[in-house]
Amino acid sequence: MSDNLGIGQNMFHRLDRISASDLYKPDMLHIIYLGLFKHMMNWIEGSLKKHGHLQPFEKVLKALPPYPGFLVPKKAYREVTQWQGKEMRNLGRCILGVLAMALGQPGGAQAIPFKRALGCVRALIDFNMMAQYRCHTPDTIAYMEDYLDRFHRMNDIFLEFQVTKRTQAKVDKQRKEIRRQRSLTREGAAASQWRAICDDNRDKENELRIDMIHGESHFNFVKMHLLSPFCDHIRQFGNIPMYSTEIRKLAYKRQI
Amino acid sequence: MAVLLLALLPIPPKFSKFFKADHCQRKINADTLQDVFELIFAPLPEVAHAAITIDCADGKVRQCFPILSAWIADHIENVALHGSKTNACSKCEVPTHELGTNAKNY
Repeated sequence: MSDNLGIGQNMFHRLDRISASDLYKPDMLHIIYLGLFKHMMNWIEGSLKKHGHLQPFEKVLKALPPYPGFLVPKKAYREVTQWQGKEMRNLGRCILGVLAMALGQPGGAQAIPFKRALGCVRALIDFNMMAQYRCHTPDTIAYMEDYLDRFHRMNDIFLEFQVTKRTQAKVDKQRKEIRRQRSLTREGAAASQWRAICDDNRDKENELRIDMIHGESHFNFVKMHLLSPFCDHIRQFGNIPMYSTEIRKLAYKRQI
Repeated sequence: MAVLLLALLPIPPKFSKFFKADHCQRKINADTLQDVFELIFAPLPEVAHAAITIDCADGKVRQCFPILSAWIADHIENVALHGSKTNACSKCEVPTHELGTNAKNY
């Protein structure tokens, strides 16, 4: 535990009859909407780009009809630079259908990754929907646990798109090194020979890059873990939406 | 839900390339926050031990021992309050390399 401790003391330690860890409340706005949904969109964008489905995805998103309680996104997906909580919540409502439409009927080798990606997104969306419930029964909490479990089991399909800056720097360094070595062999090679070397090298480069990204990437960031206390929290303290930071933000805006 | 504004917390200047995050400055920031919270929490220990009477919604007057029961904050604020590291959970003791798994037994 000692490596989790930062500087300074826990503010709540000196207060009586208080357990500091029970003061922590899960927060839908930052954990789900601005946290995991944002990561999820990055993963989806990455995988759509990889399989060349980005265009249909944007087309479907643009063609969404208005519906009571649902705000149609005004801009195209890539034009939005900063996502707000409200927009993310809207996106969460429609993303599953849009994604299913955009992926369409995949054939051959694409079928399995697409199915897995859809399953992962579906698990997260379902978890989010259930977390919004105002009252729970043991059954609904069991559903939530099941969705969370499924999300954790299936998210490895998106692992290659969860690239940290550090991994990216390592990949760039590796590529530079390969190019440097290749340029050393240039002396005395004929033009056609040189092209063959280049093509050969490019395949190797890509292979190494994918290997490295798979080896280095991980989902060990804190928002991923913060979903875990949700179910226990409902059992102990009641529904999640009443603890969302959104309410407080709106409330104190008026008082300042 | 009734919301009452108690205090606005002091926000230290951000660490940047020109304003390096040295240990001393971090310590000062943490201590300042600590002092402010001591000021805010000052009435709490007394009322938690000695009962006070509070009007209840059903018209009766009840004897109460109010305590702090919830703190709604985002992750970064929680980190500052609990004095933990950025990649640590504020509720449990999960190690960094297991954040991505669905581990529940911490």
